[in-house]
Amino acid sequence: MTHPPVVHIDPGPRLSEATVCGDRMYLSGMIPEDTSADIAGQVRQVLAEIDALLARGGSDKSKILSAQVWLSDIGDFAAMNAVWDAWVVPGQTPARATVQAALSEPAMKVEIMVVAAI
Amino acid sequence: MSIKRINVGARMSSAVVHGNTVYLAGITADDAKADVKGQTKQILDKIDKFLKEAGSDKSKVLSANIWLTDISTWSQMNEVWDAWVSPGNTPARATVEAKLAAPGLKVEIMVQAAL
Repeated sequence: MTHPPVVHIDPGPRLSEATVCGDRMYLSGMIPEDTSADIAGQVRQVLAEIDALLARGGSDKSKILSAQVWLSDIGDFAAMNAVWDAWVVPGQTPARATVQAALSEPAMKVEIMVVAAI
Repeated sequence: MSIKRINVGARMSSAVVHGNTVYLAGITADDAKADVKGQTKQILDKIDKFLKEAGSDKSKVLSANIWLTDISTWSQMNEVWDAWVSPGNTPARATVEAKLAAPGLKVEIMVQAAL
């Protein structure tokens, strides 16, 4: 069985920002650059990073298949959803799960990881 | 390759099919008053339904993420899970404790399956 090559987007010593294989791409968990922002601001930053990475892989948000959302406080669920709902493409929403988890930095409120078709 | 979405909502879809893979959303129980076993049963019934709609079934589940609000309920969840899975065709699985989105929810399960 032959496979298409794996393309790494911004490969680092620890992880790549995204990997592309055939007609699918896998993004790393995206986190906000500016953790002084409130939950809405942090979600907006994360979604903008996702948009940019999807574009580099030849995809876009209408092709997201699956998403995992981690919130450091599940009490931010509604505030996260308000930004998320305005961002997703109507009729083309991904399968999604959201749970609370402690993230890698205390000020970080949200992390989102997606898989998309290309 | 086309994308087929099942039970499309404004926020998310219940399942998304691409190629020979179906991705399900994190599924929770409709009746959050049920205990862990009852909630797990409800969830697995919903997963069966969405897999069927996608053209798959539980013997083709590749990977599963399970979140429990209380990890000490692990064996109760497993009792229902073990009776549900297809013998010889059990998926890769991970289970951790996490707070879930709505009060009363005790279990959430997210799977990927082949078609």
